[in-house]
Amino acid sequence: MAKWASSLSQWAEERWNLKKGLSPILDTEVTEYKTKMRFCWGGMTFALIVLELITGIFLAYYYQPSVKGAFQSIAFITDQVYLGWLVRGIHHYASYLIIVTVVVHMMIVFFRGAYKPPREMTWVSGIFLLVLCFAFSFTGYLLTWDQRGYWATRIGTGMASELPIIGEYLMIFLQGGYGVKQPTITRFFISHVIVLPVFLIGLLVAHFLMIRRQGVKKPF
Amino acid sequence: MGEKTAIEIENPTPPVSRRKLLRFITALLGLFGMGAIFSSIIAFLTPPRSALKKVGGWQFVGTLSEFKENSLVKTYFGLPVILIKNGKGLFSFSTVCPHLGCIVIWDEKKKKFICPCHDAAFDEEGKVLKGPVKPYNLLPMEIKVEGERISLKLPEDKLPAYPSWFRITMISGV
Repeated sequence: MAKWASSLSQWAEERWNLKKGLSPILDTEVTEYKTKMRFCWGGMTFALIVLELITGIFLAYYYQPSVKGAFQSIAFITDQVYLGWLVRGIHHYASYLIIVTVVVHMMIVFFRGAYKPPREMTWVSGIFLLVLCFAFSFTGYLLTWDQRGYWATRIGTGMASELPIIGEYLMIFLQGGYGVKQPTITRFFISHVIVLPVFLIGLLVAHFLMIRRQGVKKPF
Repeated sequence: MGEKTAIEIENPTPPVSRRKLLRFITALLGLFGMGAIFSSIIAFLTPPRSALKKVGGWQFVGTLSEFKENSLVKTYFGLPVILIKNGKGLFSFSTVCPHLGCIVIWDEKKKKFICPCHDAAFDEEGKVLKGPVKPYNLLPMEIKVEGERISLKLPEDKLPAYPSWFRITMISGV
């Protein structure tokens, strides 16, 4: 087994020279203070985001983004699909946990003063990531097409419509017309599974690159 | 090959060393774990048999003797369907409101089906009484009684892609 794995590793190394490419990431010493709990909240958030992406892909195999099919396809996933209840449950509760871990992560960064120069752009990218998390929650809420999701969206888009000048345009843009109907589900679904993940991955890469470049702020 | 020491003679190297055995057990457990994960993923992605059955058509829902007089039965064939037995006979219709697709709920006090979204009301036969949905009634289902057996005809074009599973979710007095 070990020989087989070793020869496979050698075969890959000869072709792609992975060790050299990954060396700056893998061969970095983890200093003792970084293993403390207060330095782990960002990593936990990332792990939960990965979990959301994986379970989200699985759910998308069955979900129907339509007024008639949304609620029933979710009932189908929960009641009929093998382990569907588990996949949906993980996707649902991990989304709540992300908000908790993000808030704790940001509070720790704030109270440690880690947002100050030269790490101010890491903080700004984190703020955008928080906004993206809220956008994921808002768009995902409607996709179940239940009472809570429907009225939450009505309230959310109604709040947007109260903005001066652009309010009505913004509401029509979000809903895809007047009222929360089929175009709203379509827009929210596309935003939830394509547009927002693209922005999320881009921002996460930028966030991590800045952390790698500048390091984590050392303890007091 | 040098001569064996006294310690080596007393403790001969076993054909399978402890390290090799542990490595083998770890690999076996790893393979078992990976197999469990991958088989679960494949099982998840394989549509259940209930979803592969033919959509719509006549569906058996139960027998007459199962249903008390003045009772309603909620069933599920990919869309929620209700079967009512009262003094006037048997009635069956979809509980999806024709307005925006919310599920209507039986109000015991008002003796009406009420849509929680926009307060539309329907009588026991699914006919609209008030609300923005007017003049559309709840989608009726054809009923066939053969002896004791009750079947409902479900319209194929009105159902989503995953129907044909059947379960009685609630039996209550009307």
